[in-house]
Amino acid sequence: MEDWERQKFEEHWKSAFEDAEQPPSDRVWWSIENALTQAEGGAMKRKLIFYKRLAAASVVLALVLAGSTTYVLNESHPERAVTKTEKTEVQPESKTLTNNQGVEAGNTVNAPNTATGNKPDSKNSKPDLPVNEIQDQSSGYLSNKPVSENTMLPADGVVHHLQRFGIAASDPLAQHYNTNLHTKGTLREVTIVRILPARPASMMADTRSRKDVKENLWAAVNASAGSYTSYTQSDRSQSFLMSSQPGSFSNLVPVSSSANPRGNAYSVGVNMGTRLARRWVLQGGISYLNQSQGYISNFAAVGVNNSTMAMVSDYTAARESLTLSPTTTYTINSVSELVSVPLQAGYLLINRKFGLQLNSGIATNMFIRNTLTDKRGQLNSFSESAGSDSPYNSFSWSALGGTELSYKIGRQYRVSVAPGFRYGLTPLLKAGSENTNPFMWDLGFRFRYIMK
Amino acid sequence: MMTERFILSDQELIKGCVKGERASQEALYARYCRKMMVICQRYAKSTLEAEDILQEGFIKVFAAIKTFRGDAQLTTWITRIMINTALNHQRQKLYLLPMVDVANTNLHQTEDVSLADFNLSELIAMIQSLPDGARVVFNLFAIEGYNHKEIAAMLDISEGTSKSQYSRAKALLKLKLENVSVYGRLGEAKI
Repeated sequence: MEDWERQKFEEHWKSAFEDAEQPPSDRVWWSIENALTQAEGGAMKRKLIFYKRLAAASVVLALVLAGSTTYVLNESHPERAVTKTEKTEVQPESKTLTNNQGVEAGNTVNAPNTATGNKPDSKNSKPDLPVNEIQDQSSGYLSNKPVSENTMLPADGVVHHLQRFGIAASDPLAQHYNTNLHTKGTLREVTIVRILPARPASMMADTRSRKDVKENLWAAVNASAGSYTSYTQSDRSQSFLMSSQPGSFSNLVPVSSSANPRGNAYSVGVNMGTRLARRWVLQGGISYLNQSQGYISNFAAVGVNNSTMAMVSDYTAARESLTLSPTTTYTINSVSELVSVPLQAGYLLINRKFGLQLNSGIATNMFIRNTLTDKRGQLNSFSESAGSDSPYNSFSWSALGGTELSYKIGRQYRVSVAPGFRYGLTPLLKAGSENTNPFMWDLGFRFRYIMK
Repeated sequence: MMTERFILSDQELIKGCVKGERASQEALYARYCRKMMVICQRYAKSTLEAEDILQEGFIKVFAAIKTFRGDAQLTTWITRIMINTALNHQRQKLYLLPMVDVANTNLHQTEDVSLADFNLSELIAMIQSLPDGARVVFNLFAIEGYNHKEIAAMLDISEGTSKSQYSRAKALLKLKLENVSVYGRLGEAKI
């Protein structure tokens, strides 16, 4: 009997809740959708993380290479002109020397025999020298102009070079060179080996490319895609607005929208480039820029014909005349379209078949329009172009940076991958709209046609 | 909008959710949120807490929906996730206040009172007024249909504790039913 009663008690409760339903508040779906949007942003972020790291690594690599190249060039500059062969002719009796300094790099010149009339052996000496150099040296090179012991140039030259390595003139090594140069009556040849700049061959200008087109002017088409980040105030705290129906204060309800700080962006465009110096280039062009960002909103704007349109608080903050209507929570895709005119300076770190270029510059962005689209398709889209009523600035400026890894195809084409970033120097939204400057990482592909 | 939602089958909604389509997720939520809200309310101490559980539960549902193989009904699968989420919510409280055998469950025993006299909100309020341990055990035993052995395993308590907590819950509910039935109705009559 007791068991039966117990079962009866449980059955009562079970049946009381069997088909029971209770609606939760709208806040729950709002929060769920927010969490899902953030999770999707995280997934997208993970997808793009590889490209971001690639871009960051490329920029770091380019900076390191640029720094090291500049350093090495500065350090090795005095040595670059020291490719010379010095021939010293010693006459023990008169202690006169023939100074052959000034012979240009890479040429080893056989010394004339001073004992046989101080005439140069033209067969041995001239062929390796350019004509003008031979002429320039006609007075000093083969004239055997005697010099005093005090001005023993070759020996001094050796000491000078030794001093450059921290060896004093009084050093035994310096004495040894001096002694040998002066006591031996035979012709001596002192060769100072050229000290090359410590740069890898891949970074040297390709001498073979002289046969090719010099890449002084080119045109390119480019496309890039990446992630877009724009933090707005409404991300951090909901801005509550009031929806007012004329003549009815009872319809006042709080409405708000929240932006997902991360979005996507892509651009397509054309540009031209020209070489300013051996390693410096200037690039400019024009491109179409599309930046999309997600929003969650629980209100719509009511149009003149009572049509409802997707709406976010960025607009209501800038335009109080909008008539709003509360809705269930829905997601919005906000797309901003711009025309961007970039101008960038580039430094060629590697200029061979493979190229590596470091770019930096500025872009002027002209706002075209912003379109808010209800992802469910239930509300009409809302579109706003630039203007005094628009919450968007007509012009904005961005700093550009990045690298360009390229590969030359044939004589007149070059394809490249260009990871880079775009940082908004001025906000896209007008002052008071509580947003900060957008930041964009992207990975671009360029196809270049080399004109000359 | 609502009509469109209910035209779609569970399978179609699941496919959409697997693809991450927001419309399908919203439709799935709209279809089951009311039923799940009641479950959450039974385990929670307040409506606000119930909504937190509901939110957390549905996020888990959308995250794990790829793993749903269709062995059970979708509503059963979602209910299980909601109960587990609710138990996780309550577990911390249960650890802080470990359930022990109620030595004397000789509470005031009365006759059965018909639940048909009470609306859903009143019944939920009665359950929510139970102590945490007793409320969880009551829900699992009386409404979900688990036995004490399963409840003991789920909550990491002894079977005896589960039984005594249930007895306590039952006695308290009977008392509340009686009180509301007598004093509540009288109170209403006075007003």
